[in-house]
Amino acid sequence: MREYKFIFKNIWKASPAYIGVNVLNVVLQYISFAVSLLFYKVIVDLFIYGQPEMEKVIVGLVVFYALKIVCESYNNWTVNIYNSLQQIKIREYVSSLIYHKCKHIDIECYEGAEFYDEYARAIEDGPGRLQDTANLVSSFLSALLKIGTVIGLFFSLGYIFIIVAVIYCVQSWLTLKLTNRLFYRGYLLDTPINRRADYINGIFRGYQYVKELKLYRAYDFFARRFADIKDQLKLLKKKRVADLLKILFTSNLAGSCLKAFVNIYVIYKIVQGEYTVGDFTLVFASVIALSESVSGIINTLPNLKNNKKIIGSLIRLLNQEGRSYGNATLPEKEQLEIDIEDVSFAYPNEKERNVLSHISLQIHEGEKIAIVGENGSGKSTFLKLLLGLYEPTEGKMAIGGKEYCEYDREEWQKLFGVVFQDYLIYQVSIAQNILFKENLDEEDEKLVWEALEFSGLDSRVRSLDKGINSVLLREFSEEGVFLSGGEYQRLAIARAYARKARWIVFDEPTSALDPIAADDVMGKLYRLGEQKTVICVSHRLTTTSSSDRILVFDKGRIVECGNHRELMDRQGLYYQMFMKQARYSQ
Amino acid sequence: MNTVKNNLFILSHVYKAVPLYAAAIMAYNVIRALVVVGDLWICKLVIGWLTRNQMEGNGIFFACVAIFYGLYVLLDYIGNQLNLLLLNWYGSVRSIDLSKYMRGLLYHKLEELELSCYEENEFYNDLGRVLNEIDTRPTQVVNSLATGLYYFLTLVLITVIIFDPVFIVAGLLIVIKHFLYVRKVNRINFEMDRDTQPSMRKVQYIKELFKNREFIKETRNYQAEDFFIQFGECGAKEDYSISNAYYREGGRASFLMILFGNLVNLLIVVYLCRQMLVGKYMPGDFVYLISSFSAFTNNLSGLVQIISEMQNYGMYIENIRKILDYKSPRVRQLDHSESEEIGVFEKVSLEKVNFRYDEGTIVLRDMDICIKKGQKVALVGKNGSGKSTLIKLLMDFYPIQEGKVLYNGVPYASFDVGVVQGKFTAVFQDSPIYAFSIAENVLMREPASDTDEKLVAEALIFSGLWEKVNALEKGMHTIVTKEFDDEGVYLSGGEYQKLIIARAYAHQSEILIFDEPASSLDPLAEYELFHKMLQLGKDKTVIYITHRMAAAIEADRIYYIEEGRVREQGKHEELMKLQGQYSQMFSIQMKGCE
Repeated sequence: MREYKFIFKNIWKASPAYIGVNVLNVVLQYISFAVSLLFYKVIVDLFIYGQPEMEKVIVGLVVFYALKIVCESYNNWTVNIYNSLQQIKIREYVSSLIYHKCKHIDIECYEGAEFYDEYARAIEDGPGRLQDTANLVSSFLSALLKIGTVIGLFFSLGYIFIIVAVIYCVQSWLTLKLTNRLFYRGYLLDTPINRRADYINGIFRGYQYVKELKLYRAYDFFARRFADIKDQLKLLKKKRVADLLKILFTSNLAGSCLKAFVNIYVIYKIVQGEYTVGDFTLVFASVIALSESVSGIINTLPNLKNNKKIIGSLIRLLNQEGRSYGNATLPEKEQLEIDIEDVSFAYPNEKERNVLSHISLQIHEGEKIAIVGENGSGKSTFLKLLLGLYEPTEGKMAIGGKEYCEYDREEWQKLFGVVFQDYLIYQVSIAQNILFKENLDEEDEKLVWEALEFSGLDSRVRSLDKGINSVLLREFSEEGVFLSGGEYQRLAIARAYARKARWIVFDEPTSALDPIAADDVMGKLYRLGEQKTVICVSHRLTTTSSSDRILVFDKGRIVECGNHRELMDRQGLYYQMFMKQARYSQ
Repeated sequence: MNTVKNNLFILSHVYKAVPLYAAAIMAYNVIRALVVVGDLWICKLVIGWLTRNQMEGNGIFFACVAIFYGLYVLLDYIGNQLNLLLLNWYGSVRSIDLSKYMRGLLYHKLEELELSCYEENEFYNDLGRVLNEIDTRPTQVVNSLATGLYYFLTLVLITVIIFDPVFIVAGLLIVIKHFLYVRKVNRINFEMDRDTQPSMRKVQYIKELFKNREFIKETRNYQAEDFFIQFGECGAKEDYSISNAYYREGGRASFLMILFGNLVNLLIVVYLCRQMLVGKYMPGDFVYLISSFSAFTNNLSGLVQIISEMQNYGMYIENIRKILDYKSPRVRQLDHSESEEIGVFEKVSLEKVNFRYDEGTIVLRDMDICIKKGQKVALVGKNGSGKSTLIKLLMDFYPIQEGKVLYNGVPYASFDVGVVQGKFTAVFQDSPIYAFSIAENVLMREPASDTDEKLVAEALIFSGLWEKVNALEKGMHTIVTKEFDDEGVYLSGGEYQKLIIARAYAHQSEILIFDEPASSLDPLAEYELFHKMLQLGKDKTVIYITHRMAAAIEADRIYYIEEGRVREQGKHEELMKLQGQYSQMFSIQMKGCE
């Protein structure tokens, strides 16, 4: 029930008249249905048993059709105009609810597959399901009304029809239930196989695959694999079809017997003179209406159930509580420091495995720090803790003397300018990619150019027709610009620069750049000024060898710490890595 | 004309794949038409008899009607079950064969496609569409044709039972109106789709972004969420205001259709009542005519619809044909007698090669390079200097535009397609791992014998992955990734590279090419990888592209490439002495090492 309350409350908020408009539509559609049901009977009986007068017949027909036109037009307006438009509004309303919620959900949550799957489904399907459910409810109600009417009609014809109607309903309900279960089972069996087929199909499409397919002549292997999958599907299908046919043959047999019985019974009664000939058409039409309504109801049920599930995840998402923050402001100090005390971290979905264990460290403002270590040693996770994206599972992280959570979140967020390893490039203009701002004033533009100059992308951007207002990629603009991998990385660097942040944090900032470009960027970064703190993860040890301090991570711990000279003298892990990189051949 | 040709093209393939498929679907629709018209007709008959004999109330009459009706229900039942068999037992099962056939055809055709096809945007999009729809189109074509037959047959049967010109005229009127209406609605929908596309895409884009974990991290830090939320809301608002006008226009059109349809119906009913009064029609005819009138108009409109559907398919099939009829731009003699026999590798060379991707700027200019047997060659240079393009040309991935590419002095074009490629083994930056078994990942085919398994083991031992694989329950037959198999195994970045190296080992030919395979590895893993590469290429020719200058030191020959030309070449010491670009790049990276 919680779900339905949520649905109607939010539809009410997004589009107040929606419910009223649709209820009226259900009523009008019902009237049109009831009148049409009686249409044949009235006319047939009139012409067989009565004395029809043409004028009266015409008046009656005109009234009947006028009513139909009114009902159909209202339905047309509701469905084709009103609901379609409101759909956009309701979707937007719900999407915004979700997106605004996203700002407050802890980043760790996203790492858990279970949370993420539910989250992605809520975003993808949630917004559309509100209106969908409302529509299902209204078709459910109209089907109920129709069934009620038909049963009422049968009641007036004799108790035997009620029995027939009940048998009929049970019979169709059973059939649909059985076939739905069969389809659902088939769907469960087919889905993994179909996914495999899609996967192979994707291999034939992907550019990175094609080169290998050609070189190693592997076309036949994958094509054969695909054929095997189809054979598997065929086998499953064959079995399923056999089951399906068994159900349908029996159910159709029952249906046909009922049909024969009802109609022959009616004919008998007409011959006896108890029923009118018109009743034959009435029963004929009622049976059809009954079967349509029953299957309509049965078909909406699984959809309603499914929607309820999705709306359930949506509600859970919207009720998800994020970490709470205090409202302290940062001290007005020239020199902030970050204190990391005995910090350990494990992802929520893998609580036993510490990604970082017992890290203690103090970072002073203005330091240039490099972080090195093997893949998977915890470097990137460390950065995320430092940025306040994750909270340590053990230990304390303090900035300027107080723990992160005591501050208003924005206080320390604005300190950092970051380039993540998997930075994103957005399909908006270059300037918007850097500043995340809709409209730019002159000062903003100056800042953008300065940032581009810093990252070495300025000359490329200058060569573009629209300069910093060129839109990237082709999704939203025919003239969208494509840049190379290295250029995108420079753009991400410009983005971090433009924040004018006091602390600059780079995760492998130059992996896609050639040596000269990498050196250029890193050199500029270190020369930004004594005030700026730079923290940089890198696999290219030569680019960071001039750092004040180098932290060497191994299996979630800091195993060595010092400047390049000191670490080289120690002849430890850093030395080993450096030497291997410097001279491959030894 | 093309429409007919394209649809026939697909039908001929359907016939080749499953000869009786189309016939079965046709038969299904013939029976369907008989059943539907039978339902209408029986109603007319029974009411007719009842009207004429209403006052008699005798048992024999009832028995006759009852038996007749019972027989009808029996026939109806048989017809329906026959159709279930045709549609499900035959149709839907055999359609899988059809899809298998079509895809097999396509996949084998793709082997002939040039790599450049994948780089051409338009062609690539077409290819994507064809890959998605090649198995649905044929069934659609057959279904549409068969449904057309159903409509036609129903129309004929309905008019044969009672022929009344008034009905035909009224039906035609409605169909013409309906046809115009559908055309209008299609236009409106088309324009609405077109005009709302950009704003819908914005909404969609934001949705995708919010599903992206990296996006969440990045915007959290940059506090940029509101910028993107607004971007999406803006899209929705645009969508609303653009759609508004179209929905209204569409609504008006349907209102007119409703009005027109009901008025014609009203006139028809009045006409029928009039005829009944004068005794020309009976009430049974009335019921039959009214219900068959809507069937009549629906079927007529359906028939019109089918024609436009077939036209529509024609366009899609055009794409399919384009791919299936694709001819490679390099004309090569597929006649084996004329093509050169490829010998043992001595050297490959590029002579005065100019190359550009379609209409773009020149990527390689006057490229001259010669690589001899046994050489270890390093290609270095800035991003975008043309290194990757150069090796792709060497591997015969692109047809040559200007200049010559020679194998042992013989132009590539003299060999059969794929023959030169067989001389190369390559590891790319983006070499993929497949969600198949480890052995299949190494071999790129199914292991067929003990020899194959031995080769896989050898390759894994070489690349240093054997210990890990051997410890797995299913050994080399374990599936990589858990995507399709819960017992699958995940590989770390380093292990992933080792598997790629094992693949190269199992396919080793005379020339090895490495295109920056290590850019995301840590120094130790990278070192290990590099050594594996050198070990693999010990007695072979090796060409590698790298940004790690230390890797170039040992090369027999280094080419420094800039803007599509070889700027400097020689051994490390020679180039360092030259004090040019190479030495600059080298010393920048080696800064801090002594």
